[in-house]
Amino acid sequence: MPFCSTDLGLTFDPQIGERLIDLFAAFMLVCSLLFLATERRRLHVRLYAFQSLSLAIVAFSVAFFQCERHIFIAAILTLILKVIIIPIVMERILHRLIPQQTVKPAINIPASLLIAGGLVLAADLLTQSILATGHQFALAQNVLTISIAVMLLALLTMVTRKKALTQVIGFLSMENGLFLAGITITAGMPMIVELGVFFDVLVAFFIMGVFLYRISETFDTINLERLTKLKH
Amino acid sequence: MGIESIIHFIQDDAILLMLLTPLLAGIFCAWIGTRREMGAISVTGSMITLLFGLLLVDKVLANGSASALNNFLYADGLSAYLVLIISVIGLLANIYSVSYIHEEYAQGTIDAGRLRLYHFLLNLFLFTMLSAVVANNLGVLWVMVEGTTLASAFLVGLYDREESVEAAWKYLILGSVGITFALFGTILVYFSAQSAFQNGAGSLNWTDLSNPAIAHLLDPSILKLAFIFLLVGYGTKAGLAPMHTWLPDAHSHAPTPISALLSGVLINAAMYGILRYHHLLLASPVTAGFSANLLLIFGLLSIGIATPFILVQKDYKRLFAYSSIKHMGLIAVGIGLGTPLSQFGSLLHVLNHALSKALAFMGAGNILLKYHTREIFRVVGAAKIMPFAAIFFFLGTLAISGVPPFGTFLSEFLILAAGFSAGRYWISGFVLLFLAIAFAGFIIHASRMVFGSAPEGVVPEEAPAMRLWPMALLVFLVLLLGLYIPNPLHTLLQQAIAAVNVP
Amino acid sequence: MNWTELITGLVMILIQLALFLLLAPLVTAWVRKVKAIMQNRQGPRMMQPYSDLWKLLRKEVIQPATASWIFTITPYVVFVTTLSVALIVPIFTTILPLGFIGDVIALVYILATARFFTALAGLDAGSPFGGLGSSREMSLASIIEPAMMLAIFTAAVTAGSTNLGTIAAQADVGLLLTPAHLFAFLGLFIVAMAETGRIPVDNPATHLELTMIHEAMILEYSGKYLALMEWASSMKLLLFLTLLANVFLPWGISNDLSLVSLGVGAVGYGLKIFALATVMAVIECSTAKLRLFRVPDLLAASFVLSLIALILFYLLGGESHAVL
Repeated sequence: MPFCSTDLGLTFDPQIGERLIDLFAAFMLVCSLLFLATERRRLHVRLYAFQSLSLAIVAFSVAFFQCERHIFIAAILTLILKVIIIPIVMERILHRLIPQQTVKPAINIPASLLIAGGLVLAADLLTQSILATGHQFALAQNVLTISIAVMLLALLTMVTRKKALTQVIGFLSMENGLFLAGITITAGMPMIVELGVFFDVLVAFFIMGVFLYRISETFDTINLERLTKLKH
Repeated sequence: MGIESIIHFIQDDAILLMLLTPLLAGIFCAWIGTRREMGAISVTGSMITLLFGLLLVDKVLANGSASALNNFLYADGLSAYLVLIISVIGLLANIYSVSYIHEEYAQGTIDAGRLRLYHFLLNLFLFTMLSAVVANNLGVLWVMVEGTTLASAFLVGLYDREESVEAAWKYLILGSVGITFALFGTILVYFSAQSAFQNGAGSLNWTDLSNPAIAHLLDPSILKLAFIFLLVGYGTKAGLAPMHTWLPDAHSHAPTPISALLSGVLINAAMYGILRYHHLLLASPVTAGFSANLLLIFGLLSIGIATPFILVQKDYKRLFAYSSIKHMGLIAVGIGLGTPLSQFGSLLHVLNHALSKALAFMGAGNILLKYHTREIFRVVGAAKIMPFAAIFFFLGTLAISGVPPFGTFLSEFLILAAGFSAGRYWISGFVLLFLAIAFAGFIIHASRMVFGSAPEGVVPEEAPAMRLWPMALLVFLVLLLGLYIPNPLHTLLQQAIAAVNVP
Repeated sequence: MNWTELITGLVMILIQLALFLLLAPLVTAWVRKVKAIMQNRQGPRMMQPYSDLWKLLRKEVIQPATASWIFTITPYVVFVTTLSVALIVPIFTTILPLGFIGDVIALVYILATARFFTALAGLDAGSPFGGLGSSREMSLASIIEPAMMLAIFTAAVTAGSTNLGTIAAQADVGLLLTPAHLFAFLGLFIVAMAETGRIPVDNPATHLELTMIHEAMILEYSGKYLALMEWASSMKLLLFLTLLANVFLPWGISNDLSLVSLGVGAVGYGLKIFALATVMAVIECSTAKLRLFRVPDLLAASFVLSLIALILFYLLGGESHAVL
């Protein structure tokens, strides 16, 4: 990759990079909370795009300030796939699906938000237990809390929201959290694995998209509440 | 160039060729095969795959391991053992499915597009499973296990019925989410590897990590944490309770040959992931007991949860799906007990279960095509309608419930004997009790379905040969394994145990 | 304390009070203007709130027959309490002459006093709308206040002090917010929208009985009483914007009394306030008012944001004071 901070002969206060990473990781967590705080699907799609954009900025910061060149590829892929392509496709799906009445979430919003607070605490305890081993992460010691929290909150979204599209977004957001963990604690995985993960996520998204149509056609709704044909 | 040298030449690249064959077969099916040719291409492809698989096994037996593409692909005893299982069941399921899926086509259940999709994805599914077990990089292992979900999601949801779509959705979402946890665990392992390697570069290659010098340096508490995530992640795919909820739906609503592959093979491939990491944790005395105990807990839980559902089940495909959960639990318990005997039993049970579960599902498929119902109470007198198919089905049910002289009895007996002789009375007693309960459930259900007077309105007609011969072969294999374990298999099992056990 | 310091202090107090009084209607006018522009209207001119206040102050007061002395004193209490908060909030300097008389805890309670009297007056007027407004206001208050407390305390904890001047001085975080500050900021922002009766919670521009909360309580007021109430709510809006601007984004705020730094502080303050007011107006235009029963959702979000800010702060340890 062509450039990073040292190639350009620039020296930055190492804190600048860390602060950027911290801040945009925090934006990702804000998005995860908002997934729980709203039930409007269009907003969910935009929040996902914004969360992915924050992730891409984190990745660029890591690549630029820490000179982890191979992460540039991940950052560019994130930008193209998760900020542009997936949200656009999702908007299209939204247009073509049959409109439907709102579904009550399994747990109401204030309660799920409070659970979310507890989950962030749990994520923090987990991180502390790893840090207690005395190992240092590749960078940004406190971002692991955020990335675990993003994963757990996405899981909570999937559990409490009964809409198929929201579940897809939950899955994608969970993957965002995972990716954040990957680039901050180990400065990325081996290249082949990273590309493989990208490929898997993309394919998973398209398969889920096809199933959204099929659910919509078969059930005339994409409320998963109707999907109760199967018992034990 | 003599035949010997040709074999050697092929054998060197056996792993690679074995992976390419199903991939090519899939592409041929998708692009150029006509409706009649697709079945032939698939069967031929899986025959060649089995051939290369056997060559690989032969090489592993001789050298202890095999690798290709600059160590990108690597197979030791455990990998080779799973390759053997996958390719054998893959071939039989392919043969069976030619007749099965074309009959569904003839009955109008699926259209021509779906038929093509089915053959393409079936081969792709085999490819992802085979790649998962021979990937050297643990990250690639993850990618491939997720790949199995993606390849099989459409297979599970092949029919346009509400239940099928729902089952496939559940499978896709739970499988993907579960596996996300496994990736997090993989990242943690990579993290601890980074500090273990001298240059700090880290590696996810199995050949590097399993090196005792490195394995000892991996941080115990990070490994423990990673193992929890990995067990939840791969455990979801392996159908361990309480992450098993997708399994009965997916396994019962998929087309029958796919059910056989899902239940007989796929869950073993996921279990393979757990075994690899279990091995890493065994390297350090601090973490050794940790992973073994977790496996015991999840194993016992799976047995305990699946058995009651077997008793009250009204749907025979679902019955076999719950039986898979039970058997996976048993395998986990055997590994968790940690004695050489129990591990031998467990690994042998992987093979026995795969064979007998494929047999049972194939039998169920024959009945389903004839009776058009999955309800146990509406199927009676199958022996009068199609004698051979019904007998094979009954034998399959006996085999999965662990009746002597089938192989499953032997492996279950080994696990229990190892448990008792290791002084784990409570655990072994619990397992024994639940196995007995499940056995009773199976016998009651199966004898009601097979025996009795033939119902009216169902035309007595034997299932076609293509759907009987694979079953006959399976019956033979399960019986054989109950009486006698061939020498090469014994050696392979020993090598596989070495890969599971303390480095 | 010598004479110069005392006089400087007194001058500072007077300047702060005067600024607060005079600037408050302007900020309200700005919010209305931005909303008008976004809705393709021309909107009232910027000086309109001043003219309104001037007109109202000269008008006769009409008091309901049932009203008691509570109705009479409430406008004064509300006005004075809100104005007194201006004494303990840093505006463009962190040096607060009267900082010792109260801190963030006092701030919360002073505002609660104003709310209490407004609600009483709403009941006192004897009209059904007043009672309705009061009951809604108090039930919302019971969830707004904990969220506000937590949001403000998070800021206090990160700075290690409850004195607002110290918080603003300590929170000199450089150009980029830390995650903890980001969350606390968002938490307080939601509280500010709720406290000042902005759109997702209440609508300051409506007199529709189904939706109004704050307006319902002061429906019976007229003349100079109404002027005092309107002025007080303008000041409350400015107060919250000031808190947000100076506690979380203290860029340019002066830490001494030199003219240059005071000048920089004043310009910076002005820019920040108008930027935040613009953001608030944009949010008001782009969201729909929540049903009353959905308001707790929003405040739960604020509560959780603050909670996460606290968690993240403890994770960061002492690092939050680091200056870029």
